[in-house]
Amino acid sequence: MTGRPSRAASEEGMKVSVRLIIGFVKKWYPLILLICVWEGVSRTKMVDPFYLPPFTLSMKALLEGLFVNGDIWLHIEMSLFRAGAGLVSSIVVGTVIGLLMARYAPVNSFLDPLISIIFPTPKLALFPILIFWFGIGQMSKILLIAMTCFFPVVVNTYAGVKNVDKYLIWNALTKGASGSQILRKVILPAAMPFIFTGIRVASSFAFILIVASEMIAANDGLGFFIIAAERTFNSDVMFAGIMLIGTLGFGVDRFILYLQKRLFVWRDMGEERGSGI
Amino acid sequence: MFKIEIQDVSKVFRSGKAPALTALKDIRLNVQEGEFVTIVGPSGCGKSTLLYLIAGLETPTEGQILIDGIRVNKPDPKVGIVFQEFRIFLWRTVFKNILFGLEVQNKLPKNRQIELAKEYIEMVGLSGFENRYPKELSGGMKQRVAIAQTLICSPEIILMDEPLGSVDSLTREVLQHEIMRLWEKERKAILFVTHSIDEAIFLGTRVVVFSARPGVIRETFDVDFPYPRTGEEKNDPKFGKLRSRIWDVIEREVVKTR
Repeated sequence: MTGRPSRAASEEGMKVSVRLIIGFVKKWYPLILLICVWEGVSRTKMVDPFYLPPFTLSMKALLEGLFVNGDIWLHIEMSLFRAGAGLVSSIVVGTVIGLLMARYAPVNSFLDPLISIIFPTPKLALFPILIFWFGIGQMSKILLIAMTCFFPVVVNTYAGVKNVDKYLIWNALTKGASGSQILRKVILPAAMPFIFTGIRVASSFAFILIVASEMIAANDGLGFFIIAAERTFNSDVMFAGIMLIGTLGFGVDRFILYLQKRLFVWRDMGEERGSGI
Repeated sequence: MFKIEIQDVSKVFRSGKAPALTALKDIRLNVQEGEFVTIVGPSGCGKSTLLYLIAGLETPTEGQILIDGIRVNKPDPKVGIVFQEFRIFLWRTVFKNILFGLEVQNKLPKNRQIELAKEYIEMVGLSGFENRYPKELSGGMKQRVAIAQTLICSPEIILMDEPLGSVDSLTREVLQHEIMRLWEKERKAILFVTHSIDEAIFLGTRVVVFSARPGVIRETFDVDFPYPRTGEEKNDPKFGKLRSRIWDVIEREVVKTR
């Protein structure tokens, strides 16, 4: 008698976990398929394993780097530090400037032409100048990332603030709200979904640039780790680095999506359909 | 002394190369304390603009508006306004929306603010919905939030810009009775813009009819049904007569805009 409920519960639990696995496979089978093909063509030597080491070997190299030698951690730390520092400063500066542009016409008329010219220019082209000025240390890379990420943040903040319903501001004004209260309690919350869209784009830029800049000029970081492996013909280590940076980028993006869902429960999800990837 | 004095007010909008647009012309209207003035007129006749001017959100191009004898030059919480299509804060729950005015003014202790917010939630019949976001509410409920949000600031004057324009007709009637009851209790000066002649007569002590653009006051009708009004008045032949007199004036205006 006593054993029964627990057995039922564990069966129930198993059913749930089986359902979860089925759900996972259903969603991610293209990825699984890709990995199988990768493993297959390398193992059967259809492609020279020197150029394409099997997935399992690359995975082994990754796990060794993480848990046996532990030498990857330093590179992860450096890359995340640079990307994070650049991203955070771009968010702070970009939000403030976007806000000023949207609220004050002279600021906008001064900055708008500059932004529309510089935004489409690949900031990576400026990297040599940054190295020239600031050396190959942290500063040049953080600045490169901050400069690039600034643009999606500033443009989206501007759009978000411009988009705030005038009547909401009026509503707050007639209830006695001060200028700073209107900023904090009306404009910022109303513009926040836009600002977050900018942050999400910026974070993907940050990942692209951290790898590129570390490949060009660095002694550590994941970009350096990948290029160093390539130079020493350790192709399994190289693939390990690529998988790692991919996973990190994916993880950060998912985290931002999760935050968006948590922060903007008040939004009508109708407007966001189609961007759920 | 009148509560609101609108003295020869005109409002012209100029923007860029577009021709100047005269929204209001030579408006003269006095409202006494405790009056319920309803305003009807064709679309785009500047009725809303008049309310924004009284609320201090826009400035008259000519003339001036006095409240308690003092010239209006900026928004003041003693003049409350309920906007068209419930402009409430989507990121705030019902409770936090209704609390908004008290929160920003912060004149009362926190616990008193919360108490009052609860009182007003009950008054507009939203108990149980305190923690819902506007997206989860029907149009009528959102409108109740907007009304409570304004009333909680205890304004001396209440401006309502087609507050019932976007709710279904059943809810509309219910809300009309509720607004009437609220007004009877506190007898504040109300200016109420509407498209519905029946609504204007049922609610108002006085119906002001606007012309098509530029908005001028065409005619004013006193409504002498005693309060409390029950809705029975609508069957009174006097009501029908008044309705057709107002309709005649409006019809002429509507035809003009074609």
